[in-house]
Amino acid sequence: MDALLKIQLLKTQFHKKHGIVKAVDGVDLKIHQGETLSLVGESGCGKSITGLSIMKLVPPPGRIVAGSIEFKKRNILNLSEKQMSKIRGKEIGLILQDPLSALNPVITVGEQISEVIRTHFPVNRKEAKNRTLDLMEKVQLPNVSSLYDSYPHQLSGGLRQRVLIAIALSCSPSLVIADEPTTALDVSIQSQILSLLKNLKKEFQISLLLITHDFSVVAEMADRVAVMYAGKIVEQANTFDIFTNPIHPYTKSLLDAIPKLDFSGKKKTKTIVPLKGAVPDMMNLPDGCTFYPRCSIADESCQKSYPKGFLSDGGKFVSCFKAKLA
Amino acid sequence: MSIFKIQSFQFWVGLSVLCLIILFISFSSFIIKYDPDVQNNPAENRLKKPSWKFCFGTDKFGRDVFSRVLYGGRISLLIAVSVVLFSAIIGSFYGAISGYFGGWLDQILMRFVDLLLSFPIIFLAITCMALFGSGHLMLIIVLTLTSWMDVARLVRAEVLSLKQRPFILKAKGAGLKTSRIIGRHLMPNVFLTVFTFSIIRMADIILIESALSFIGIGTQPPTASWGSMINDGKSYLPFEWWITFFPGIAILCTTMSLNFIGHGLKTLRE
Ligand SMILES: Nc1ncnc2c1ncn2[C@@H]1O[C@H](COP(=O)(O)OP(=O)(O)OP(=O)(O)O)[C@@H](O)[C@H]1O
Ligand SMILES: [Mg+2]
Repeated sequence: MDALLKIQLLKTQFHKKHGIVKAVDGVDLKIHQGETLSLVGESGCGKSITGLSIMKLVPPPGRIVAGSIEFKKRNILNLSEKQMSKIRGKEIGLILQDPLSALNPVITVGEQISEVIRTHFPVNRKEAKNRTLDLMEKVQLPNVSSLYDSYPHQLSGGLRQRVLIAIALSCSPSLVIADEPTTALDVSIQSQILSLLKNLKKEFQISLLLITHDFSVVAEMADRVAVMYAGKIVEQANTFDIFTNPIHPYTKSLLDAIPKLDFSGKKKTKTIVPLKGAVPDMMNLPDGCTFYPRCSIADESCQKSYPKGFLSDGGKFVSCFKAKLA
Repeated sequence: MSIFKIQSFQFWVGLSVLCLIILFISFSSFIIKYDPDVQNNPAENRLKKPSWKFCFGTDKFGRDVFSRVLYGGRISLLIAVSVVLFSAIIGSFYGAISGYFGGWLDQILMRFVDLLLSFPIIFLAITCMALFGSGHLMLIIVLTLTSWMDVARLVRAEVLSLKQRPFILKAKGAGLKTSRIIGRHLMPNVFLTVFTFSIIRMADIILIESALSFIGIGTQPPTASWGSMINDGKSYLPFEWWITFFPGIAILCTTMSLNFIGHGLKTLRE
């Protein structure tokens, strides 16, 4: 099956006075039709920049310097700004982390949804409003007709995130990029938003790139998981495999850092092992394997070069000298 | 966001005084009893002290100072409002485009602003009016051309920080047109800043207009403006003080209340 989105050797860099931040450094990813791919990793490892690269919205001085991003078999890196604006919002939806700051404080929530519909479809205001009201019901907003004229600050965090979801889905895109969609919300609201996303994903038949650092979100939502470290994908596998049989030492330690993991069904409680060392300075990454300084199984050979990834028959991808595929 | 949240006492005093001034000025044709510009008044009416008949007194031509203060206020305020409004419109678009697109375009646009700002306003105004003649329209054009740059700088700075905010990323991610992002998403967010600035700027424009009229190149006789009235009356100081005192008080009250309102509005920006 052909992939909906195929990213190859993507490199996105920030050229600054003091050096180069290689925020995305040779990333390969595929997302198939209807699939949810979760991108996980610690803060600052380049998850958001990967997502924004797909929309060609990397903030300056950031620039995509190499690679290709094929969306529906077109390399979007070759598209003009004008062609891109027809893809943004229409073919690819974007959901951001903090729903309050992601909504314009001086525009009503109804208009913030309907303006997107009017941008991409030749409809008049009334038709756009009707579609917006339908959409607001689909994302389970209450009292839609009065909510239409409310301002973002009058809504609770959960309702605001539903508005953002409505905006992302307003033109029935085939791919939605959700950048930590639940991080800013209360735990009880988080699960509501996640189940809403899950249902809408089925209903609208979309693929989802779910950026998160929360493994409970991964377990709930993802079909496949890509683990990112310092701008590179270090491991990629089915969700089940990641939890039951992590191979890369970074993945293992991420999973060990989760409080009370109980995935096998047997009642056993693992102790929390916090990840040692700090998130690397993206401006001065170590030579060789970037995870080397924090790795428990590394030896001197790991310092010499970056391990090329290898792919197993089951579609697992790992990039580590020491780990062996099961 | 409502102005009723403003706790400043000064703001409310300023607003009340300004409303009163505007009310008087707008209904001046119903209030005044004498033609403010007619010069051949009976000799016994000239240079009269304030009295029941002429509550602000009369000038050397026997014209009622009260009527002239009200009519002069029309001119002064009309010029100030026009200048501030046009400056706000030009400056907002210029600044928003400069800040939003950034890069070399921003560099060019801002260096041009720096260049214009390096001219002293009064000097520039005097030169222009000497070259192209005076008159209210010319005054408005010259003052607008010399004062939109501050708005442009202000809006640019505001847009530079606004465009980093996630709601702009959301708007871009939704594929909105650049014109809509600037016009509908950025502009309303700088409105309060520009409005506040314009209120305070209005006070400056009233003073500049008065200064220009005072040195004789602004409003031309027999039309009254507050500045030209002070100019007319200056040779009668200190004895016939009322000719200069009342327009002076009018300028003072108006500019002070504008400043009070402006500073009150500043507290509204959380
Ligand atoms: N505007 C910017 N200018 C310079 N560097 C940036 C900018 N935005 C991001 N970066 C750098 O790019 C790297 C990746 O950032 P990114 O936002 O993708 O991290 P992330 O994985 O999404 O982290 P988080 O979990 O905190 O959201 C970071 O190290 C950061 O320093
Ligand atoms: Mg992020």
